[in-house]
Amino acid sequence: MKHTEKELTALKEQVGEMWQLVLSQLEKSKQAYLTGDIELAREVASREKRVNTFELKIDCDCENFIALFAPVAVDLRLVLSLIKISGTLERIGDFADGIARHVISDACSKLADALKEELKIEIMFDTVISMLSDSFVTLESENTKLSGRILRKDEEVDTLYRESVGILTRQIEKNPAQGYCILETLLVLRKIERIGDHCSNIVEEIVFYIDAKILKHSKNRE
Amino acid sequence: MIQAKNIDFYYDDFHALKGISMEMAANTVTAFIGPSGCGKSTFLRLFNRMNDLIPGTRLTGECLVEEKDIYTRGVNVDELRKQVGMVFQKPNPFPKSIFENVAYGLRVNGVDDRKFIEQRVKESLVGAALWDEVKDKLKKSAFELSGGQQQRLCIARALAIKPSVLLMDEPASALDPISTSKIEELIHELKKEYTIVIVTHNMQQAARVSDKTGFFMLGELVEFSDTKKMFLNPDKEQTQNYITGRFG
Repeated sequence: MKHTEKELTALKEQVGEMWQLVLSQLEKSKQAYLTGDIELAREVASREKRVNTFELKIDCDCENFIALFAPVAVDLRLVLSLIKISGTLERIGDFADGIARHVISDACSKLADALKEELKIEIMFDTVISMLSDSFVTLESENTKLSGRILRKDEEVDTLYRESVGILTRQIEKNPAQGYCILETLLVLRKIERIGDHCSNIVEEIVFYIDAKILKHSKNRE
Repeated sequence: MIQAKNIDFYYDDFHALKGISMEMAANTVTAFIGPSGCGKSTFLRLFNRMNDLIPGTRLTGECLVEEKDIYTRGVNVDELRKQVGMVFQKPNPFPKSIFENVAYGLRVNGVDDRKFIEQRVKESLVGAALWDEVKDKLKKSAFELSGGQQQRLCIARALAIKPSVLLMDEPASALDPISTSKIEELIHELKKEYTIVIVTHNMQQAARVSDKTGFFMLGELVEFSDTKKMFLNPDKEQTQNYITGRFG
C-alpha cells in the first residue's frame, strides 16, 4: 500500500471509530429516554466530549492531508466527504447528548407509556439508528446501493414527526397542565427528526465520494 | 483554433503517437500530462513542426492551425513558427542584451524600423510581466537575469513576433516556486490573447493554469476533458490512477 493510501485508510478508520461512538451514544440515549435511566443518560452526557475531540482531530488530520498530499479525484472527494461527515456526526452526537440531558433533567417522567407508543418514539429512534448504521456500511463497502433505502427512511421519520405534532397538539388541548412536558417531548422528537436529516446528509456525502454525484438539493435523489 | 485529426507519429519503427484527435479552442490553456515517454512533448512539438528536425520521423493524419493543415506541401515553416511560438523547459536566452533578445525575432524577419522595434520590445516585456524588472537595464546581458526572469524573457521573445499560439514545454520545471508562480500568473494573463498549450509534469500546475487537460499514456490520448472534471472525477480509471499517484 502506498503512503497516500495508508494515510487515507487511517483517516477513514478514525471516522469509523467516531461513527461507532456516535452510534453507541444514540443507542444509549434511546435506552435512557425510553426507560428513564438517568445513570445511562449521564454516561451519554459525559462521553459527549469524546465525540467533539474526534471531530477536531479528524478536521486537523484532513487539513494536513490536503496541505501535504494535494489530493485529486477520488482521494479529494473522500477527504472532503470525511470532513463533512465528521462535522455531521458531531451534530448527531449533540442531539444524543441533548436527549440524554432531557432525561437527566427529569422534566417529563410522567409522560404516559400509551402516549409514547402512540407517538411511535421507539420506532423513530430505531429508524434513525438504522440509518446511521446503514450509512456506515455504505461507506465501508463503498457501495451506494443502500443509499436510496436510507433516504426513504428519512421520509418515514419526517412523516412520524409531522404526525406527532398533531398528536401532541391534541394532547395539550386535552390536558393543558401537562403543557411543559408535552413541549419537552416535542423537542426530543424534533431532535430525532433532525438526526434523520443529518443521516441523509451523510449518505449524500458518501454518494459524492463514491459516485461523484451531487444529491444535495436534488429532487430525484433516488 | 488548433486541431489534431487522427495523428500517428513514428520515430523510425517506434510508434510514438497513436490515433490522436483533439481540438484546442482559441484563447484557452490546454495542458498535457502523462508519464515520461508517453508522447505529450512529441505531440506538442508537432504544432510548430519542431519534430521535422529529427531524422527518421514520420507522420500521418492532419495537424491544423487556424484550419490550415500545417503539414501540407508549400507550408512555409518559418511563417508557421511566427504564428506558433515556443517556450522550452530550460530558459535559452541568446548571448545578447535583454533588448536584443526580444528584438531578435523582428530583426531576422526583416524589421528595421527602430521606433517600431522599441515599441514592440516594450510591449512584449510588459506582456511577459518583465518590463518593470528590466526597463532600466535593457542593454545588460540576458545572462545577468535570474532563471525565472530568463524564462519570462524567452516568453517575451516569443511574443514579440505576435504569434497566435504559444507552446510551452515544461516552462517552469527548472524554476523556484516564486518564479513558477509568476509564470503561472502570466499564463492566465496571456490566454486573453493567445491559445496556449503546455506540457507539464506538475499536475497541480496543470490543474491551476489550464482549462482543459489531456492525459497521455504509451502514445495514446487516454482522456481529454475539462480540467475541473479531470481532477475531481476523471472518466477513466487509468487517469485516476495516474493523477492520484497509484500508477505503476
